[in-house]
Amino acid sequence: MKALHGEGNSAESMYIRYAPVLLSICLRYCGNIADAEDVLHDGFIKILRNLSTFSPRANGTFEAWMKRIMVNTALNHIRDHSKEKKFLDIDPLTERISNEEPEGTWFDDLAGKISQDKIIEMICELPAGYRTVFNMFVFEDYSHHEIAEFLGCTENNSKSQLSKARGMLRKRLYQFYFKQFEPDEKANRQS
Amino acid sequence: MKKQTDKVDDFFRKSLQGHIVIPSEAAKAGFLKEAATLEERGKISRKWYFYLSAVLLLVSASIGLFMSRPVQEMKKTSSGNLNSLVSGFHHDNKAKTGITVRPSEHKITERQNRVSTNLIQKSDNRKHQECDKKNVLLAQTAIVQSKEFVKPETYSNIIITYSSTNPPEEPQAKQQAVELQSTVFTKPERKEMTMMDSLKIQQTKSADANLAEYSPAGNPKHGSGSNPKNWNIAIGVYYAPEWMFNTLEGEKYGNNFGIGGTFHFGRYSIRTGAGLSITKGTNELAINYNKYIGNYNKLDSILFAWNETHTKLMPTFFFSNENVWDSLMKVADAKVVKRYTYLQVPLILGYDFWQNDHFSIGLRGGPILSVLLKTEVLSDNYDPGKNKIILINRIAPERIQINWQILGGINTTFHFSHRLGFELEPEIRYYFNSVYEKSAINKKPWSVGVHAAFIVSL
Repeated sequence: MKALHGEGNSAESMYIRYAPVLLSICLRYCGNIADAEDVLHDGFIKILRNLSTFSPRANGTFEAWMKRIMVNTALNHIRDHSKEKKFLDIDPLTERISNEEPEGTWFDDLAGKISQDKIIEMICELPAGYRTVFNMFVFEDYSHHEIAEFLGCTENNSKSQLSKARGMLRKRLYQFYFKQFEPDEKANRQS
Repeated sequence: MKKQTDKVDDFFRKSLQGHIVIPSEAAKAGFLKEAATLEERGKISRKWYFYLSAVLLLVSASIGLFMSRPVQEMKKTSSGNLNSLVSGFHHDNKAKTGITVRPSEHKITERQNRVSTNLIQKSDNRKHQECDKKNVLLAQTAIVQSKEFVKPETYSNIIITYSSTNPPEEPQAKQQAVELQSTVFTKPERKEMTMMDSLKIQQTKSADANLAEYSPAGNPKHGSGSNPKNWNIAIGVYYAPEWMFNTLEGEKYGNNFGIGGTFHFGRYSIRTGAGLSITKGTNELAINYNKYIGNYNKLDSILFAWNETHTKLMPTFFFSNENVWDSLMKVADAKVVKRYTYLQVPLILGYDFWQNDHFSIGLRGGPILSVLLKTEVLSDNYDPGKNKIILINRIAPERIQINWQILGGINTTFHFSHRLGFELEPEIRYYFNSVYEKSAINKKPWSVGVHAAFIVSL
C-alpha cells in the first residue's frame, strides 16, 4: 500500500518490486544497459511524481500504468537522442535481408532452447529504428498508424522497418540454431 | 482492424514473457537519492501552505488591530483634553469658578465624569465669586481644542451653560443655569460676565446614536450601520456539521470546528480564521494474490561421509523449507477506513440587512481554502496472511491535497450582551474540485451545514 501512497520507504519497495520488469522493457528499447538504466530512472521519477493521478478505473492496473509510462519515457529518450541521426529516415543496413524463411522445421524446434538473455541480445543488436518499431508493434501492440504518428514517419515506413526487423531476427535465430544444434542433429541422423 | 500475426512476433512475445533484468546498485542508489529529494520537496511545499495561512491570519489580525487603535487613542486624547481644560480652568480661577459638567450619556468617559463632579462641588463652595474674562477665554480655547477630537455633529449638540451672576443655592444652582450655545463664547460683549457657575454638557437624542459607537461593547445597534465609523472586531469559536453530496462514497458527514475573527464595518463584515475539518472515508482496494497452498522440505544436498564402524558411506541430507502458492491469481476486495483532517481558512464577506438591539440577520458568502493535514488509518490494514500479493489496485482514490470551496449562508446573530453573542448560520458549500485526487464522478461535490459560533466582541 505504501508504494501506492508515496509514504515511508515506498519508493524503495516499489523500485525493488517493479524495476526488474521495467528495466527489461527499457533494455528492449534502448539496446544497452546504460541507457536503459537512465530511462528506468527517469521513468520511475515520473511515476513517483504522478502517483496521485493514478486511477485504476482510468489507467487500468498499476503495473500496466507503470509500463506505459516507461515505454513513453523510453520512446522520448530514443527520439531525443536520435534528433541528429534521423534514424527512422535512414536505413542503416547494408546487408540484404531476405524474408524468405529458411527450409526445415528449425523454427519450431527452437522454442524453449534459447535463453531470454540471448533473445534480448538479438533485439538489442537491431538498428534503433527497426528495434523501436518492432518493440512497439510486437510487445506494445501499437498499430502502424499509431507508430507512424508517434515516430513522425509514414505507415509504409513503419511497415518496412518492421518487415526488415523480422527478417533480421529470423536470420539471427537461424544462425543461432544451426550454430548450436545442427552438429547434434547431424550426429543423431548419423546414429 | 486485426493485426496480422507472424511466427517471429509470436516467438519473441512468448519467449520474453516474464523476462526481468536486475538493475545495478548504482542505479538503485541514484533513484533512491532523487526520490528522497522529491519527498522532501513535497513536505516543503505542504508546509508552504501552512505558512501562507499563518501569514494571512496575522495580516488580517494586524489590520484589524491597526484600525481599532485610532478610535481608542481618540477616546483617550479627547478625555485628556477635557480634563486638562477643566483642571486648567479651575487652577487659573484660583477656586473662583463653578463649572457644571453633566455627562448625561455615554459620550463622556468616566474619568471626565469624576473630574466634573469635583468641579461641581468646588463650584458650589465658591459660587458667589466672580469669574474673570480670562477663564472664559481659557474655556473657549480648551473647547476648541477638544473640538479636534470630537465629531463635528457631536460638538454641535454640546450645550454649554452659564449660570446667572447670583446663582441660587444648591442644588437649584445647576437647574437654574442659563443655557447658552457654544457660540456665546465668541461674543466679545460678554467680557463683563463676572461668574460662570456651571458648565453643563448635554447630549441630545441624536448624539446618543453617535455615542453608541464609542461604547465599550461597540456592537452596531440602533441602525448605527449607516455610520461609516461604526465597526468592531469579534472573535469566537465555531462548530459546523456538514453533509456532503456527489462523492464516490455517497453522502458523507463531516465535522468542522475552529476559531474565527470577524471585522464588522457597519452592516458589512469580513470573517476569517482557522479551523479543522474532519471526515471519514472508505478506500476500496482490489488485491490480486496467489493463494498459499502449503510448504514442503526441499532437498538441497546430500553429504556422504565414510563411517568406520559400519564400514560404509553414511548420507546426511540437507533440507530447506519452501512455500508453495497456487498459480491461479485471485482477487480480494478490502476496505480501509481512513480519517482525513483538513486545515480550513475561510474568508467570508457579510452584510446584515436587519439589526436590532439583540438580533441581526444577514447574508454571508466567500471562499474557503482546505489543505490536507494528515490521514489516519482507522480500520485494520488488509492482512494477506501467507498469500502472495501480486498487485493492489485502489478503487476509491485518495483525498485531494488542496481544495477550494465557496460558501453561502444566512447568518442570524443573537446578542446576549454588548460583548457576548451567538451565531447560527445555515450554509451551503460548492466544491470547485473533487474531494478525490482522481475522480470518475463528473459532478462537483456540494454540501449543506450549520455554522454555530459563540462570539465575543473586543
